[in-house]
Amino acid sequence: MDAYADLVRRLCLVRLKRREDTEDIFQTVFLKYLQHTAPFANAEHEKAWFIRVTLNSCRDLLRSWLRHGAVSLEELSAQAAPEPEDRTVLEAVLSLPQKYRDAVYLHYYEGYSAPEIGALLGKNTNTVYTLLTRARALLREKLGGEEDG
Amino acid sequence: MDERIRRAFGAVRADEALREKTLAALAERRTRPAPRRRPLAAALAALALAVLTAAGGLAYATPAAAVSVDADASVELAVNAFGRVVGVRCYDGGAQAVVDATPVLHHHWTQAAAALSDALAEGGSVSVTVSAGSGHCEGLLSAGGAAGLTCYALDPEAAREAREAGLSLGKYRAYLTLSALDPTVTQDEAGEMTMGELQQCIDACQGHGSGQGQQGSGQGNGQDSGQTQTAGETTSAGQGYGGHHGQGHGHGHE
Repeated sequence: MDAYADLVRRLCLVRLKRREDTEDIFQTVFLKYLQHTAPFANAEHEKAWFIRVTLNSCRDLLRSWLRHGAVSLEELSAQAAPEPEDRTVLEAVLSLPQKYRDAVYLHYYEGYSAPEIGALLGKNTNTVYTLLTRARALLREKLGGEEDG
Repeated sequence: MDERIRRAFGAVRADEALREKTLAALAERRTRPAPRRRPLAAALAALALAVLTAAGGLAYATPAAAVSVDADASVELAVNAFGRVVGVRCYDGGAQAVVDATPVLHHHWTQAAAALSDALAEGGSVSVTVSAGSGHCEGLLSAGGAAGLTCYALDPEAAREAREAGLSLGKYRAYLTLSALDPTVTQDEAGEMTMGELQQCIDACQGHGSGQGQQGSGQGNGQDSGQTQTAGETTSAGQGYGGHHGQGHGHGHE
């Protein structure tokens, strides 16, 4: 769990709005991991498995009719990061439309390329480039500062 | 900006409480036996339920007997094995009006026949003919109905012939009786007469000379299952009526 708990937590932050939902996803993902019998080819394969399973579990949870309620962005980012500067950046990222948030996290934090993100999310590579370009423009508007990537 | 995003996400960690809660939940799930799933048993149970439902529906909707109520107009009821009316056939417009005003579908056939005999009687006689074994007429007469109600049983073969001839069971039974007395009478002629007129012809033939009756009985015997039980007053003979020919027609007929 130690190796991937932070990864799952960050993906939950990108996708979900409630602490209870994050707890559900943790149990779901790690239970699936315990039940997973096929061997992973390498660490990258295992990490990609965690990303896909977490995102799919979040999607299923969001579709559930039992789920209701949400917290504000400010509260969400305050729960996730104690530093004001980090909170501001997280609020800006989390205020983006859903389709941009996955790509931003996977590209800027996990360092995946557009083709790799396309494979993980099941999207066309050009679509991922477009998502990243538009997300970058929106973030520049919200956060200001120069572009460095 | 890239660095700011990296740093912000780097600050997000799975806290100890979250990890411990997850580990506890996983430990509980691993020690608790997984619920046994029996998808095949559930599927078979669902299939059996569907088959039983379909079979029950089919059995309910399948006619097992027919009952005709005949006065000036004729109505025939299709009755299922549970004794419920599952179909109604009207032989003329007058019958349709009566059926419209007297809901009989899904009622027990004795109640339906009694209600229709009440509605069709209009002071005259009514006959009910049942295409089933003995005992049904007793059931009907005990359920009550119009005064002058007469009940007959008709064997299934004769009921099939009635259907082929396009006559109600009661009219076909009366036709068989009349043709036994007067072989010249045709099914078409019988179909165009009311039950009262048919009965008058029968009474007239029976009252006029045994020659016709004896001639007819040779053909009629074995077809007419006969009157099994009567109740109330029987139809009075049409004294002086000149046989079946020349009866007034003109009422609706299918």
